[in-house]
Amino acid sequence: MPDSKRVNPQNWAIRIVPWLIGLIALVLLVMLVVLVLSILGITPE
Amino acid sequence: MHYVSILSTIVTFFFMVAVFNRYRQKKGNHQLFWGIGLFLYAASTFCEVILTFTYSGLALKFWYLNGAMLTAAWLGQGTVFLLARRGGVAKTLAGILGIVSIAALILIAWAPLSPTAAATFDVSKVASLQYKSLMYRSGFTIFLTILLNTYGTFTLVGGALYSAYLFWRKRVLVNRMLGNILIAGGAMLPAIAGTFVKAGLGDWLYISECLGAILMYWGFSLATTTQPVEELATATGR
Repeated sequence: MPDSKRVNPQNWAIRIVPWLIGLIALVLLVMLVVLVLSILGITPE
Repeated sequence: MHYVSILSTIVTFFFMVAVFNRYRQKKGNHQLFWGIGLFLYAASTFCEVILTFTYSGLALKFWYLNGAMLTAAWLGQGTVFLLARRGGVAKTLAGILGIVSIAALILIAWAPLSPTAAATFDVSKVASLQYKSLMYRSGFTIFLTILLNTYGTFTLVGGALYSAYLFWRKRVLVNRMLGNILIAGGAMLPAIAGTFVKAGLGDWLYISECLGAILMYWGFSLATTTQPVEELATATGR
């Protein structure tokens, strides 16, 4: 991988990306739980 | 509020053209499936535009087929082609998706519309608040809708997050890192809106479709832009 494509470790993106991945993954997980619950009929449609 | 679907259609149309242009230049099944997915997205929001002005049973059916059933799955299938390149897994799943999509088309084509639909349809309200009373959906149709959306959302969002994670771990290509985050976030919005529709907040579906298209287009543009040379951190001693 050429160095020109490397990212400065202090770049703000390197700090924020894990949080964003975690946040979106958490929302996705909550959606899955809601979906499963609605299929099981635990929550009203 | 629901005139926002006009903006969604314009944004999605240009997004689709950009993806098909890239497919023409670089090939790759993932670009083709994303392009088809975006065509379905644009067709769905265009049906919303029609339903904003007048009632049409055909537009209602195409809106449900494209938007509620097929768009997410075809976009997600593009991501499957991008990430699962071994053993024909992606091709097998694409074949299954093709069969299921034809089944969905037949189910919706034969789905009966309410005899009083034209009289009771209110153009001042969004279609997402009215379709349940206008079109009969069998249990199998609802099952396929859930199946296709679950498959599409998890492959599209999950794939984008996974790609972002790979770039982050290697500390390379910040534009693709952020581009994938935007694509994941944009894809989440219409999916979340389904929950709002169930809660009776149908307007949010149209807004989230528009914001989702803008975010994904932004993410795609960012990820496919050539990155300028960045200086390395002095901390690494390079």
